Amino acid sequence: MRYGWFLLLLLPLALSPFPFYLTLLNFFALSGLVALSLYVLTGLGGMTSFAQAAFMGVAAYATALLAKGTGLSPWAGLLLGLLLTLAFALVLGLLTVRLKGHFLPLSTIAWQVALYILAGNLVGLTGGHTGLTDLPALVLLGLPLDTPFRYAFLSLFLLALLVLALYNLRESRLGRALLALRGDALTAASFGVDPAALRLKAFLLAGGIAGLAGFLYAHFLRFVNPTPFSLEASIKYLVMAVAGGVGTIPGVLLGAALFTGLEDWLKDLLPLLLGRQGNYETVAYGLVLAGILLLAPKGVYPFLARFSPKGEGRLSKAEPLPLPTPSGTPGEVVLEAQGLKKAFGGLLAVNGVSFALRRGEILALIGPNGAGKSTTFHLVTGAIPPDGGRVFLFGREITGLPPHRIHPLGLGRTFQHPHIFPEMTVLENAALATYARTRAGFLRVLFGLHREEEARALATAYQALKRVGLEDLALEAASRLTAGQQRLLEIARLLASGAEILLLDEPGAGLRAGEKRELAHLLKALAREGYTVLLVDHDMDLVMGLADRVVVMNYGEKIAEGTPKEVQRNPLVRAAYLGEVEAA
Amino acid sequence: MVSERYNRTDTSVTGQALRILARRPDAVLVGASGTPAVLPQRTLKERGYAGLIYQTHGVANPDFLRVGGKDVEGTLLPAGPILVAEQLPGAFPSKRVALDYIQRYEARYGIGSYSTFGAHAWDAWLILKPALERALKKADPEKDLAAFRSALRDEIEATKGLVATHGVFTFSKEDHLGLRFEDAAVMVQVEGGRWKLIRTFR
Amino acid sequence: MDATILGLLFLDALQNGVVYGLLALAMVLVFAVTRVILVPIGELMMFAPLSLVWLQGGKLPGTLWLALALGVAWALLTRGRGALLPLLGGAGLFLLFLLALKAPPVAYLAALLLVVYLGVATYRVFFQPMRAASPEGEHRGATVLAYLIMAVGLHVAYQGLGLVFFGPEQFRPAPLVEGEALVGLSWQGVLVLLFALAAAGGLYLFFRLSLYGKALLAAAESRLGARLCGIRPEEAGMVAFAIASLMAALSGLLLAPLINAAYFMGFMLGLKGFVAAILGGLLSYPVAFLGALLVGLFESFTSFYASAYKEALVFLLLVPALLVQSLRARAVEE
Repeated sequence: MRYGWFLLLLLPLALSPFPFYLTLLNFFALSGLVALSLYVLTGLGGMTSFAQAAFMGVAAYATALLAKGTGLSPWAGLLLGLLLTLAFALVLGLLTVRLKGHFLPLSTIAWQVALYILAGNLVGLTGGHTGLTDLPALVLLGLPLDTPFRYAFLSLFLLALLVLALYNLRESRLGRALLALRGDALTAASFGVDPAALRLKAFLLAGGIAGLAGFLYAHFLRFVNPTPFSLEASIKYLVMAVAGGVGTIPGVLLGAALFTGLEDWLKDLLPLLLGRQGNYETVAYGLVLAGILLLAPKGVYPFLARFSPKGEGRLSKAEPLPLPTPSGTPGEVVLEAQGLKKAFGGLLAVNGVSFALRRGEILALIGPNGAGKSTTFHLVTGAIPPDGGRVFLFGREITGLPPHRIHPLGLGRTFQHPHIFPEMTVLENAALATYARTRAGFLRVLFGLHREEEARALATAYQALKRVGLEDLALEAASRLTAGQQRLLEIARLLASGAEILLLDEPGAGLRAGEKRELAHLLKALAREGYTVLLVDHDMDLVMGLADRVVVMNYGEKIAEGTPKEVQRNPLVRAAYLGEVEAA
Repeated sequence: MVSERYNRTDTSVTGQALRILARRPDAVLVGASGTPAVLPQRTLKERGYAGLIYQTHGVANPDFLRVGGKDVEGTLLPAGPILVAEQLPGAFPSKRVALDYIQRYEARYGIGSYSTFGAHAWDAWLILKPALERALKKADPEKDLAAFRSALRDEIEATKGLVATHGVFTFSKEDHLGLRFEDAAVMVQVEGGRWKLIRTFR
Repeated sequence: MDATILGLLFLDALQNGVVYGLLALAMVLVFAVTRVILVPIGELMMFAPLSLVWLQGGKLPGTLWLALALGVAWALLTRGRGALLPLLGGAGLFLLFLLALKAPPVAYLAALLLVVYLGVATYRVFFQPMRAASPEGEHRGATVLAYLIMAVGLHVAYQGLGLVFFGPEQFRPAPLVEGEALVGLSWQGVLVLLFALAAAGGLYLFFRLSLYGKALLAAAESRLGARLCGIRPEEAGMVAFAIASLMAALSGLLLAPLINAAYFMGFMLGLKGFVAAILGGLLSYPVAFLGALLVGLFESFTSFYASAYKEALVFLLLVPALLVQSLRARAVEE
């Protein structure tokens, strides 16, 4: 089905009598490449860049200078161009990926402007605003690609190839991880995704794609000057992608096609309509972008996609991944917290809390609102580093490690509000959890060499869904699940991740009585199989019927520990907690 | 000799001006177009520079005088003769065509609205019109576009002694500029907020 | 280099730096309250003096129609009694402009209020609906990104409209005061410095002392926080945009006689304001202002030593700033 994109290669034949349209076709392919780079960055990764045109420029000037200066084959220029773009993206990325989301796009504006000025002012090197002329044509298999007709085959072929590669990316552990990262970095990290590293790689990939487009641009026009690599150009690419629908591959290409087609038309039409000359198309770009963001934030493609036939997803029959099955001596300490401390400003949220979690048990952490339960939970899972105290997992110290380093050791967590990714299917949500158990990197994924591993990851996810009874919904969009099903999906995700220790943050919240019973049943069964469960909840019925042991917190301190019966009898607990519940 | 650069978006060129003044120059040439050419000149004046200031034909529009005001008094620049068409000597070849253009332009867009830039476009049209008419007789663009294009090029190259607002155009296969310096440029100075002809090169 | 040149460069740096500082303060304020990065601040800044020049020339500027059009959209979005503010404001603005045609001194006030009205309408029409549509109405990461894309889109649109309204050339309104206070610093420049000082001090007092200012900061933290302080988040956003537009417009009016105003002049000024705001981590007002002075200083000296690369070199300042912030972010994460 997706090989259908190669039908684009028929377009030059159909348009061969119209040289103007052949040129437009090449421009479409080039814009399409850049728009696809924004699909990776914005659509998948939730970042954005206002410097894609600058990346193009780096590669375009590199190949132009190499060809003019040394007479080497332009293909050497491609290599140099890509290397330079990647180096440039690396510096920019290293500086910004660890910071909050807006620093990256903001810095790209600054770099874009700076590079544009350099291109115009380093006259000795770049020829200033006059640019560099008479670049050699690309020669492929002895055939010079010196006409728009010939060139279109190359540019469209590369475009179709990139589309395939990006579909591979979308349907891989990396694609899922990027989507998860966009929605919610903490969830992604608690399944082993290193947010900064993955963002950096996505940024590099996007930069590289733009570099490729820049190389093609230079040898298509056989002339480079600063104008096509300006901030305005970068913004134009972003408008294309966002207007078409930056979250889907057909969407960004639709945007590229629309804008390439409309641009010349707008330049002619708008002054006619408005009766004066002027740069109306830039005003139109800005307003179109604003309108799209307000009225159709997902772009125009979703409106079209409604009418297109729905592709039937298939379920993988591959062998599931080998996951560590819970084993070891029941009752041994698997997770231990010693004297955990955390203060927020002047507020001591957790003050010297210690507890031990033993293999195969269900331990509940309870306490009134504001007792510090959730903070304790965050300290143990690495979401927040503690101010004092230590945490051990299977006897190994994990104090202060980030979540993505703790998870692979065998610890998985859920969230107070289910963190489900609505744009993925139920199966993909579960498959996200196999991230730490799979290996395929960007290169393998882009070339489609990850398929076998991917099939096994999906099989693992399917098996986990079966375990919690969601297998019939596997191919549905996760947004269609009820609250109770979302809780189950979160647990399935833990099972698919191979974690032996399951930390559940208020698993009963928002569930109906029947669903709670089913949940309790499931958790007990898991504990019997050797999984170890730590849960935080308010729901006394659920906790008292389910937990083997209970730790009670109040005002940041542990006030009691024991079996549910013991705890219920404890006067301190009754005063601090149960009394409050009865009064409420 | 010293050269400094600035951008039209610059809000201050003090650094560049100081560096230039440190060399105690006899003359300063500002290479910029339109109103952004005013800022360096004003900064130089404010920093006490009293020497010659040259601009280019890029500033030859009314907006430069409007924004520059007193600060650009005495500026010297080479410009197309049409800028001072009325002051040209009667024998200057392009005087009549230029005055005709100015009259037509101002009739449409108002007194004082013309600049040398629009006149370039007018000249292009003067060149193109007869060439197009001749080329259309030689080849039909509907039938053979390539032949028409080369016919058009040949006819433009065949243009001889065409008097336009900016000079007299004589093209050839080698000469695609078509102008002779003495017909195409005059020296102008800003005096009392107006363009004043200093000399022609004929 | 001798002492005279050094002194002149310092004065130049100071005058530029405080303007970047004002823009940085406005941007940090808007970001803190609304999570919007106000990219079109440079355009708002230029609209003020350009509208003034148009009024002084006896013409109604296109910006008036833009503001009124956005005002109508604002009223339609609000409906009910809330629509009175844009409608009455728009009508008042229109009358003020008619008055300004007859009485030139009013033109300053008219240009100023125009930009404030335009700024608030921009928030209400373009940003507030995005916020209302975002999940749980809170500032999620995806929304912040969408805000930024919107802001860049508006910059492009407003800059393009600036060209349509005011043409490609620069304009120079007459300075309020003529002459130089000392060598290298005009009286108009002194006005700019005084205004910057007053604005920075005023903002400080507003946020530190007034209850309303504190409530505004609370609104920056969370929707709930805002409600607890008795301020609606929409209102907080509008007030932040109003203050930012006012600062931009005043700086624009004071600065225009020194730098010449044109539709394209605002963006670079705004961008340098950003660089300063980023130096302050988009959080700290004093650091952002100091950052702005640093940007001014750096720029002044690079314009002396390497004028061709001045604009590019300014952005190099980002490298150490981002590096430091990155390392600090890492320390928190691990």
